[in-house]
Amino acid sequence: MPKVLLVDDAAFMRMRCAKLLTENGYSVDEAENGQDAVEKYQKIKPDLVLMDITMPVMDGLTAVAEIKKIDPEAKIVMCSALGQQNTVMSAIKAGAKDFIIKPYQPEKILSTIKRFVG
Amino acid sequence: MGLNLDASPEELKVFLEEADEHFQTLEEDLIRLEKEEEFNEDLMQEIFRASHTLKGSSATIGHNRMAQLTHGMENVLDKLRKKQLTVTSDLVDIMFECLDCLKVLRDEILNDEESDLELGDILGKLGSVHDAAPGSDSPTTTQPAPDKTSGKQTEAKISIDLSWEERDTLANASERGLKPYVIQLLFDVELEMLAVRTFVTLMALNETGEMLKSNPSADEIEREQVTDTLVMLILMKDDEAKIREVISTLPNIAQYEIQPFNDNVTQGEAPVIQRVEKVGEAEAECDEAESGDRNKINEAKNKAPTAAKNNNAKKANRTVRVDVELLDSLMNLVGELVIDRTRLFQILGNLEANYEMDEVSQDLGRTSVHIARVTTQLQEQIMKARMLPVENLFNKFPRMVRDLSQKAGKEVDFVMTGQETELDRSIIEEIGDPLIHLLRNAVDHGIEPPDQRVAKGKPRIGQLKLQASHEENHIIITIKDDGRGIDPEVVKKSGVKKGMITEEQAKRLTDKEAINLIFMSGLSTVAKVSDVSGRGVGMDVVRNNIEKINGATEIDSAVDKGTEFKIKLPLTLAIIRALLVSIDKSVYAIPLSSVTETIRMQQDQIEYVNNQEVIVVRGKVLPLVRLKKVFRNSYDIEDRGKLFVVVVNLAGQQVGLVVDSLVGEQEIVIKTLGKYIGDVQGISGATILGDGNVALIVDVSNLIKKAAS
Amino acid sequence: MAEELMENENQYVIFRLGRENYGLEISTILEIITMQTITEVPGTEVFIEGIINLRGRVIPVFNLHKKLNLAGGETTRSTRIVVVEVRGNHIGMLVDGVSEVVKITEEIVEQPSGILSDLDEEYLSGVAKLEDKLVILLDVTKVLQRGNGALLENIG
Repeated sequence: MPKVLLVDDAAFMRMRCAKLLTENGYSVDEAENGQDAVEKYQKIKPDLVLMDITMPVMDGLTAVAEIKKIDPEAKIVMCSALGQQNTVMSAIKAGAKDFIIKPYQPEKILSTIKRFVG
Repeated sequence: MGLNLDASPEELKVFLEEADEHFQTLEEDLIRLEKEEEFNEDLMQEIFRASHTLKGSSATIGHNRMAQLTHGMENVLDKLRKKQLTVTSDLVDIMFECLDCLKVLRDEILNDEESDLELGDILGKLGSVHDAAPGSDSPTTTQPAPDKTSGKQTEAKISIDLSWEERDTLANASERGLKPYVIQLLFDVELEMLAVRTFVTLMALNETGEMLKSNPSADEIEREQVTDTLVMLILMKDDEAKIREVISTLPNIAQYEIQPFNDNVTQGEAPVIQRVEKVGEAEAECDEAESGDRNKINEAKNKAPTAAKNNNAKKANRTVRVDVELLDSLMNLVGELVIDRTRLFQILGNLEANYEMDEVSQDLGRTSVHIARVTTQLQEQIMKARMLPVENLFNKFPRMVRDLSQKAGKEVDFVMTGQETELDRSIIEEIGDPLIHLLRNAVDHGIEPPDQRVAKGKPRIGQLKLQASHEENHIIITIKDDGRGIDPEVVKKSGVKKGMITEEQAKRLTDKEAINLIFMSGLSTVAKVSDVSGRGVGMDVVRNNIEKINGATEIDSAVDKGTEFKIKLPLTLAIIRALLVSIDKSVYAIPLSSVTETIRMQQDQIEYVNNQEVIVVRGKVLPLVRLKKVFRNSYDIEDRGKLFVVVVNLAGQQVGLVVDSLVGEQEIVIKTLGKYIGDVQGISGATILGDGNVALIVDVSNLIKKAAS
Repeated sequence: MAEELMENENQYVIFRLGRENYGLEISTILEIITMQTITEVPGTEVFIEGIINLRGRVIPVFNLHKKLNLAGGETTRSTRIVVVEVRGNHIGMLVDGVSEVVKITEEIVEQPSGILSDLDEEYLSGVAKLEDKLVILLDVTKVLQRGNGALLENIG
């Protein structure tokens, strides 16, 4: 079962997304900020990371850079709100593979994840 | 009409909890932001984040109006964050208005019904603030970058101009076993964040080979100079099937063409694909661009906003949610244990008095002592479980004080301390209104307008302090201002004028006594009745509410120095210490918090003033209240010669309660008389005694008031 | 409500008040206890006898004699307190003695009009003619409501 690490500071968003993913056969771990994500990445070695951008303690962009340092092969998909173009662009340059725009559309999340982890 | 939200009840619960947290953050931080002289980037970031997260979550559950509003807020906050707008109180006002609207929208979820709140007005305000800021030439609804006209130019030819170096590389490609291909891609129409999508596509295709050139170039894409077309010239080992394979995994690509690069193209013209569908006229739903200055953001974040950290610490606590009803019921059960504990000791006492103590009864004694100790601990623990920090109540005050002072044209520095102090949740519920009233009074009548203060030689900005602290078995809440204070002479005059006291009485009153008159109903020294206070709900109600929960109020005031209210509250409402007395063989309980002393005296020590029985205790005249007369309506004054007087004191007023005998001191569990019986004059509740009988609890404040009138 | 009850057979607890037999639908009764020490509450209406401790809960006790203007009502060995639940509130009612539980069917219940002259018919849901006696069926909500409308409003 592919492992997905879900990073978002909003518990509601995590809950929502985790439900969708588990129902579709993914094993889900959650992190509530970038720092948490980096720590959990090392522990869990997920197949894919869904990374929010605006978070306390450590933001998503920094987290992408940190995770890439640990694992250059890491597959990270940014979760972005409209209006975060430049940040997402920076994240892609830093090694994120793709992005999803919030509010989440279930089909889009699933199709995106599928592209990377099948 | 239901909202038709796309979320399960559990999800909504989490959503609402988080929303409330964000509301709180917004409320606290906006006040701080306004107050702090220097622009606080961490704070700003936190505010932005709260609004941003709300936007995301509300859009996800499909609460469109909330998403719309938070979107508007975010636009303005982003301008603030980038210092394209400055923090003014007008702007903070607008933000607070947003917050109020958000709360209405939150309630829509609770009620599952759309409210009649119109967002047009507030969205208009946000829009005009936003558009007035520099860098806002593009209104919020259009995406600046994708130029629709240039989008249509995809129908024209797109050229790939190669530099001499690039031509060189191209010429040498076959030697390295690489074949050049031109890839032309057309993205879906009305694609959100087109520039990023273009960039991701470019990066993905880049991995299939060596990219020689693209149009738009990577730099242009980063600057968001994109159309819905991407043309690439790529050198690769594999054939075009590989490219097709990669493209098939990429999203949002409407059409594409792959052609081997040939001389024809070398001359400068790329093949052209034409979009089959018409490019829609609809505007992309994109909004403002986020700051590209990420270093600054990171810097702000590395400074680690403390509030956010605290938040995480809070979340890490190992807690479970418990229904308040369960806590109440636990408290009731402990109450019964407390009663049984008392009963157990009575039985032990009887045993010791009437029987010879053997091994078994001594064992019973030891076990009883142990049970008593455990019961006490259990009682303390459950009381603790019912405690909440007063923070929950205090939280709403800064905003309130801010709004009040603005309305009244005052400048107030409001400081709160001791928010972590814990109180029983039922007490917190009860003291909210009295505190609001006292704070309103302080802003409205206590603190002078800035000019007046300056004229008096006081600092322009008034000080208002709200403090909670723990003191022995009580919680003390003080509200202190440095305003005009209460003038005892004015209060006296007002009292006389309203016929509450005679001129004679007024003369005899000490200043402190005079000031205490403000707690009497009907007395208001306020000349002008403002919007916020002085509308019927007076200080008497404040005092009554506090006394209802066995609390006490004290007031200390000096003209032009300010006023301090001190509220003394019990830790819990459920269990208190009481003095048990008997009247006509019935037992009554008097809360010990209001008892000053008990006096045994002779019948002939009673004197009369205005036909009222009084006694003189250490030179002070105390009116007597015969509880037998009050409660049993029996007038026979036994001529036993001696009587017991329980002296009770509330807010400086003392009365002697005459009882038949004193039974003892005991911890009692307060029970209400129930709704069926309702309010009874002079009785505040009932309790169950060790013998299982019910005793009534004396309402001391009610009796004192009666005696005074 | 009365109509609904009479559609089927219902169980009633029969108790005495003075010389008459009264019935209360069993579902409204929580328990029947022996006489307890009742603490009088000053300043309440005459038919409120006082409050008692029912296993750690303080509940009011109601004197049905006084409420229904019946003679007698002295406490005897057979005096009982019938505890009923009205809109979530537990309330005790003093009765002269509980005799039995009977099943009463709709057919034997008559509308109270005309049968009883001095008793306020508003408290009643009907009169049941059993083989050996007449049973006045009380509507407990109405009994507790009369003259206390406001109080029961509060309860609800």
